[in-house]
Formats: sequence, C-alpha cells, structure tokens
Amino acid sequence: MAWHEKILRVDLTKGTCRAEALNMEWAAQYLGSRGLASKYLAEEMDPKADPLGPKNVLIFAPGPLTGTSAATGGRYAVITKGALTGAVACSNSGGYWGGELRLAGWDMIIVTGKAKKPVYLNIENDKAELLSAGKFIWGQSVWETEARIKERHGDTRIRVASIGRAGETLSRYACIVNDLDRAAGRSGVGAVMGSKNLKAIAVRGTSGVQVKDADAFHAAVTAARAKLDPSADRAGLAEQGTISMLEITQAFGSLPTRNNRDVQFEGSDKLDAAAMAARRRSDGRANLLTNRACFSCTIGCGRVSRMDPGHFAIKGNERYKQAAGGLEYESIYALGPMVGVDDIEAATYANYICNEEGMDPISFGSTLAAAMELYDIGAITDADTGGLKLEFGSAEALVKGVELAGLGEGFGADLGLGAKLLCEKYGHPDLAMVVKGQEFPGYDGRAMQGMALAYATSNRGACHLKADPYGDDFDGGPIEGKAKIVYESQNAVAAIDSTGICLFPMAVWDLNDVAAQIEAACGGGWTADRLVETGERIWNLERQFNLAAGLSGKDDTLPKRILKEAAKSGSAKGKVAELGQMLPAYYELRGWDDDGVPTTQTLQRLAMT
Amino acid sequence: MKITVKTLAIRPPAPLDAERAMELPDGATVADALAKLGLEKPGSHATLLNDESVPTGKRAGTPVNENDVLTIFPPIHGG
Repeated sequence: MAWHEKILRVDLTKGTCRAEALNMEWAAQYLGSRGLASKYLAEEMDPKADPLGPKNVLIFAPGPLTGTSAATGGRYAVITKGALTGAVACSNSGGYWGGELRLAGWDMIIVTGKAKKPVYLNIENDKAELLSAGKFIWGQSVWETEARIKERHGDTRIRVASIGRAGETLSRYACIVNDLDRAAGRSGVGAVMGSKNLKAIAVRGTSGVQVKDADAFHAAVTAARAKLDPSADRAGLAEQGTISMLEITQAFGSLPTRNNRDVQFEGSDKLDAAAMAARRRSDGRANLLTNRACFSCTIGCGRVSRMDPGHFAIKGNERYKQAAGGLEYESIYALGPMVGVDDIEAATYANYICNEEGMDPISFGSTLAAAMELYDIGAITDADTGGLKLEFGSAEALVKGVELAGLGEGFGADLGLGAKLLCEKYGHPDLAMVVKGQEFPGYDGRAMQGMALAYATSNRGACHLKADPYGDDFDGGPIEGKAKIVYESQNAVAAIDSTGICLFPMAVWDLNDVAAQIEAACGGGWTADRLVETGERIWNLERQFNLAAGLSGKDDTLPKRILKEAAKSGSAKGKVAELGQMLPAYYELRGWDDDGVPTTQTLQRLAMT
Repeated sequence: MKITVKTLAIRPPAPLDAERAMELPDGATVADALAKLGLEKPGSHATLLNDESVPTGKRAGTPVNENDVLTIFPPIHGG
C-alpha cells in the first residue's frame, strides 16, 4: 500500500531520531496528513500546554497520495498547537518537500521537546540525524538557509523546509517555508518550530512510493487527469493564477480594504491579474514572468515574478532583482487593498520578504492594516513606531513594516504579535479582524455570508480553505442554506486535506475521483461516503482538541465590525454578517449542543468514544 | 435596448473581452443576456446586475433595462 508504515520520531530534548511503526488502525479512521496527524497530536500532548513551550508537539505529515503520480500529490500538513491561536493548527503546503519526504520512505515526522542549542534535521532516505545549526544557519533567512544546506551536503536536489528570522524571534505568524516560496503558512507553526530551536528539515529521498494496486492506481490517476487536464478551470488557474479572484471580490464588494473599513478598493486595477501581466513603462517587462507547478501538479497556479529593478524598495539590492515567487490572491489582498496600497511592486517586495524571513503574508498584511487603523485614530503614535508613518496607502510603510517584522526589530516586534495581541496592547481589541486570533483571508463576510460562517467556525481560526461556500456566496444564495453548505464542505475538505492532494482539482473532481485513487493506493474499502464520514470525524477531533485547550462556542464569532457595521458598497451594501441566524443551524447539523460541544450521540455515531 | 456586459476572470475558451455593449429586445432577462454571450456553461457563472446578485434560479425572471450593467464571472475558489 501507499503507506510506508513508518514514522520518524525526533526527540529534541534527548537529541534522538528513531523510526516507529505508523498506527494503521488510526490511519483507517483518520486517513493521513491533517486527519492522522491531528489524531497523533490529540493523543500525545496536553491541549492546554503552552504552544511555544517544549510540551507542544510539531508534526510534519504528508498524505498517502503525497509522492505518487496522483495529480497535485505533493502536499503535506504541519499539525501542532498554533502559536497565533492557541487552537489546533493545520497548515498545508505544496512545493516538493512533502513528496521528497515520502520518497525518502517516511509517512510522518513527529517532533517533541526542545533542543538545547539550535539544530537542523537532515534526512537521507532511512538515515536521519540532528546536526548543529549554530552559526551555520541560525540567524539566517530561509533563502540563505536552503543555499547553505545544499552547499554543505553537496546536493542541489535536497529539499529544505525551514524557518526564517521571524520564526527564530517567535513572530506569532511565522511560517515554515519549503522550496523557497511554498509555505505551511498559517497559525504560527514557524514560531513553534523556532521555540524548539529547530531551524530546518532537509530531505533527500530516492526510495519511491509503492501503491497497493499499481494497475488500478494508474487507471484511477489517468481517469482523474482526463477530467482535470482539459478543463477550463485548470487552464484559468495556470494562465491567470489565483490572483484573478481580485477582479471578482472587487466587483462583488467582498474585498477587505483598509482593515475592513471598506469592501471595495479604488486601486484594485493596479494590482489584478492584468496588471501583473502588463509590461511596465519603466523597463518594458511585466511583473509576471511565468507560472510554476508543485510536485506532480498538472495545474501550475504558482506565479514567478521579477520586480521592477528601479523600484525604491530594491534600489541597490541585487538579491531582489532575480525571479522569485510572486503574488497570489491572498498575498495581494493582504499586501494591497487591506493596507490600502496600490503599488504591485511594493506588494511583490513585501511578499518576497515574507518568503525570505518566513512570515504568513495574510497575517502580516492584516496586522499591519490593524496597526494603520490604530495609527489613524491616534492609538499608535510616531513614538511607538520609531517615526514610521503608518498611513493607509503608504507603500513606504508597507516596505519598512515588512522589513522590521521579518527581523523582529523595533516596531516589527509589535507587528509580530499579530492583530489580536497588537490591538489589545493598544487598547482597541475590536479593531483586530480575526477569528480565534487568526487574521482574515481576503473575503469580507458581509458580502459572503457562507464565508462568514466558515471563518467563525473554522477550527484553526479565520480560514478560506477549510470550507467551500464560494459558489453559493457568489450566486447570492439564501442565508437559510449556508449552514448546510459550510457543514458539508468542511467535512469534504477535511478528507481531501488528509489525502496529500491539493484542493484545486476539486473544481473538476468529486469525492468519487479521490476515493478511487485512495482505494487503489491504500486499499481498505475507501469510498466517497467513507471520505465524508472521515472528514466529519476529523472535524470533531479538532473541535475536541480546541475545547480541551480552553476554547468554547464563544470563540465561534466575528469582529464587531463584520457583525454590526454595514458594508458601504457593492452587492452587500447596507448588510452585516448574519452569524446569529446561521450558527444555531450549523450546530444542529453538526450534532453539537447549544454551546458548540459535540454530543455523546454524535461522537458515538463517528466511533469516537 | 442596449446594456453593458462585463466578464471577469472568464476561463478559456470563453470570450475574454472584459466589457462589451449588448443589444437585447425589450423584455429581455438576465438569462437572455447570458445565452446571447455564448458561454459554454452559463449556469456555472455568477451574475451581478448593477451590483445586485442575481441567483441562478432567478435569472429567467429578472428583466434587464436600458443602460444596465451586467457583470458575469466564474465562482472560482481562493488560494
């Protein structure tokens, strides 16, 4: 079967690495990646433990399809207790690192304890060892860390996942970056890695992945690709990238602008897919250089950019004149409209720094937006910022802010708190556009009511990737139907997240396509219905972890601005998020009580007692 | 009657032109405008009529008027 049935357990306190058997009983119940790693997390750590303390557990988890020829089968998840949220963290990344880990013969890495001094983990097939990070890479950026590891070990094919200086300085939204610009981005998983003095995990694998029934797997993968490859959705993502969403949210009036004060941005046409592809007057080149795909991906939604060499952010700095990972929808939303900046080159630079220093651009941009509003109302002053003028629309503030946050220096330390703690520190907690401490992605819940419910109920805090309300929201579907759409899509997404594939093929595939590939790879009777049930079990497992960590139904809410202040323009002009109407219906569908706690019957139905 | 039709992020091979004038007979509906545009799967697209959402099930009963602006886009997912 696709599983190697082998986990790498790393005890940083003892400085040991050892192999152990994968719990196949749990794999049958929770599949892999997000689901299976969450089961390990729930079994192995006290949910009340400090997320930045040595008792937190950090798990790197590909799925059973990761490293196979399944289209988009290159994903892995990082599961831990989030530094940003205090809730279960589930950060998913693409690129090539996850596939390489599986090719090296491992199904999962479980990291416990804390190293006395900074280390990195080096894996070469079945050999794993902890090596000193010391002056070699500690204190270095993600980009420099990857280059040095490849040079030291003499192999350019090594794949590296690492933290930058944001992770070392425990920025609450530090991420783990692999392959230079792919990231397990959300919830502060990089801060957890930094708190353990673990700088990087380098992997080289040549052993491959075996599937249970090679002929059936080839047939299932081929059939799924026959649907995906010629589809308009695939072509659109390849050609335009996710950034094409910007035109839509702008037209619809769901584009968070200036810390959600507005829902449409007057400068959006300077930031959208057309602007990214247009030739600049300054040098005759476009910001967009080409697209790029992750391991085994036939879509290629990734963007590769090249900045204007004359832009003020990079004048005299050759490093940023090279091609590097470009803007996606979420990064352009957060580094553009959310902070009121219409300079695509400045946003591209800020995105580069987020990749280089290991920060989630969504949380960074949203936190900077909160700081700009605090500055606008006088709660933050020049004395706090060291003279930095944090004005909405200022590309200079964006550029300087991201540099400071990346290093955790000066006002950057405050920015590294995340929006929730920053707004609490400066006396205006209502100005943090967060759920469970995690900053909003690029959709305003007043125009997208299903997304509002998805944000409020997401186990990892505000998230656009844990449910799929997009189609109904953009179609203007009624409030009464939102709870069912969110409930059902959360279950489906939890299952897909546990396979090792990306969510994007699901624009074309259904769960039968996924089940056919899982069944051929793993065996054991996987069907679409079983995937749905597994997804629901995973959702409830995450919920139970959060409840045990001290969260409650009271955390299933939205900022006052989204609940009380009407949208000023667009399709939702005059409207607020109707969470009070949707949440009870959602709890009922989930089989939870009025306080949002799974009932005994629900847990029994899902074989969780 | 003449209306303006804007298409956003339309996937190939559908027409990519972002904005066009469209002639329609009096009494035409949003569904008529979508049909005239010639999209491969008009039902899988979202529509805004002068910034108001027009759900799929209401398009055949929603008239358009002179100088209306109809915006059409695929309900793509974020990333």
